[in-house]
Amino acid sequence: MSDLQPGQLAPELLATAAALVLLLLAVSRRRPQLVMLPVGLGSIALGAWMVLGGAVVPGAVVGLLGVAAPLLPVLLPGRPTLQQAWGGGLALAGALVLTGWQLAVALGDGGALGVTGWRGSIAVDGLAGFTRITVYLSALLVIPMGYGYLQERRINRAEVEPLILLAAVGMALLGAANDLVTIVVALEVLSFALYVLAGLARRDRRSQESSLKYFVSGAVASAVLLYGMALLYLATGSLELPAIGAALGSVLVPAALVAVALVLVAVGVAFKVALAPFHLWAPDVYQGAPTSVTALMAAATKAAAFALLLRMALVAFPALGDVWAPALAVLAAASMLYGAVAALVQADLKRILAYSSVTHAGYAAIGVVARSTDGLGATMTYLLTYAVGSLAAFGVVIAVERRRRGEVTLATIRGLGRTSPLLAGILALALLSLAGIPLTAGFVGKLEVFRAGVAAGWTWLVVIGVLSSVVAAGFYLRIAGVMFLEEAPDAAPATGDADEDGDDEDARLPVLSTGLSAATALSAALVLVVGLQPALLLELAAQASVLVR
Amino acid sequence: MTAIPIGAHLILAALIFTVGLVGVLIRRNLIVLFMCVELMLNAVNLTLVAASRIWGAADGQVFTFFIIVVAAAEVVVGLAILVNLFFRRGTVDVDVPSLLRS
Repeated sequence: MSDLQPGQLAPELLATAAALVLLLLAVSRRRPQLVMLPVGLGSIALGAWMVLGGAVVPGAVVGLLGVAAPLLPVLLPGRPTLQQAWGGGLALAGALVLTGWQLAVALGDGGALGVTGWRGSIAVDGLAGFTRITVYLSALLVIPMGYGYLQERRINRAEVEPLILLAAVGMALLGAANDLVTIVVALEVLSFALYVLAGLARRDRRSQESSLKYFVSGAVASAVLLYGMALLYLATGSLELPAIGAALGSVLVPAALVAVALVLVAVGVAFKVALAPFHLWAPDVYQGAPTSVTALMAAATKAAAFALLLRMALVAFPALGDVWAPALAVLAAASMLYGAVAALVQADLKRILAYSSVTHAGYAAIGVVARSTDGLGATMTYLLTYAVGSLAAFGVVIAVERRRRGEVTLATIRGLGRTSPLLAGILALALLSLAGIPLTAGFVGKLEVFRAGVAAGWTWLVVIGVLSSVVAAGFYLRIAGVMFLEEAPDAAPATGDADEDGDDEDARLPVLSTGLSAATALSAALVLVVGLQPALLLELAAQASVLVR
Repeated sequence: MTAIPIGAHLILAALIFTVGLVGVLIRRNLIVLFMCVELMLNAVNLTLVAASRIWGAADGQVFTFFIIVVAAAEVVVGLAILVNLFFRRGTVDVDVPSLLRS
């Protein structure tokens, strides 16, 4: 059992344990210390044992969380949802620290990145590390962002944070999965958590519809993907991706069978990343789900699904690259063009962002089509920059939606630049980043992807990408124009009573809470920092462009 | 009595998968839709077991157990969504007028 090293899955183990503890905390609502005290003492003991065993950083993280666990009910008495949120946030912060520790250890050793663990089921490489960073960072920002919003909609039930944690675990594991079984388990863990989260507002018909559509399309896509995997196993006799890749390189595999398997796997994965003809679920699901869940789907799920696409394409199917690369290029081009054009005619802000996520899937796919180390690094960078940009945008959408208690359309945000300039500024910054304007994070990602595409000889695809960026800039600027150039709608109607004027004046302002402001400001700050100082991220991406093969 | 050739299992699995896929595409009742997804997953299981037999290795059969567990969890989540939907709308038809559109 010596190759089952817990350290290689440390962030996932921590987050899973935290999800279970939070569920127990919810069950023991009246007497939280019944759960938290034993958990805390146990974690402190475990942490001390790990520190003594030489694993200082993970031991310290476990120990500190063990100290925090019994303190939560003491510091936040009588506020169970806030305890849950803090618990989830602390666990995700711990997972982020452990990810950094993993990367630091691997990069410090010089070349220890790029091994497999858990008997070949887990890849310890740059793609896994980068996906973890993106996923845990997004989930960490989504929890405070959504807290007040879910509270006001009265849907902040005890299962929210455990489900977010489990979804994050599934996504991170998908980034690290190196055999078909692990891929399937990770994919389904994240999907089931998101199906439930999308339908969190049980009485809201839009949320129900979102959950239902996500479930049906996701279940069918999973089944198609699974059948493709089964045929792949039939053709190659192996479940591990590197072995499949090696087997497909030989001439002995039956070509027709492999072709069918490739098509089925490609369709299934394209569904999950929402590439153009397979994106139909995305706008409806994004619009209907509670906005903080939409933010998680856009930022983190995209990164995880692309990790799956990258690993399938570059590890399992490199031998068939000449077959799938042109097909994927066509899908990418279709996504970029269709998403940009369709977003132009939308009025709902969440729908616009959903179509924009389809275009961004297209851009990120350019790095996959490039089939190079640069392309791998570029796609990982792109996904991180897209995650922070879209998180900042959804943070502002949440702030506006909290006051309006309903849909956020272009009419809703008219004149936002006058009523709350800071929020409007953050939304404008996020949109500029999504559009890929220089000095923002989005520009860095887009430049990297385009550069990798040109270097690999996909000039026509990059030209389409630039064209689509121009069209997309149109609808991003349209939102900015609506916010800054148009007058805010009159809050008080001319015939309104004088004593209601105060309330109406209030009604034009978005609602902020500490968590929402902090998380949105942090995302916006990340957009700026990455945009102004891209060297650090690019260096990390260059070092982490390692795939286990 | 002769053994059934292994290829027959694969062809049967392909047929079952096709039935499931066509059912998903043409049926509008949610419960029938779930059943069709289950058909597709079971076709996957049959393929894996047959392939595992061909290769003389057990890993495909282990994969099957994972898929069975996943399918069970999927049904739990799906039926929960369906029951919730039925309470609110009184129908399990997927073609009921949609609130989410462009």
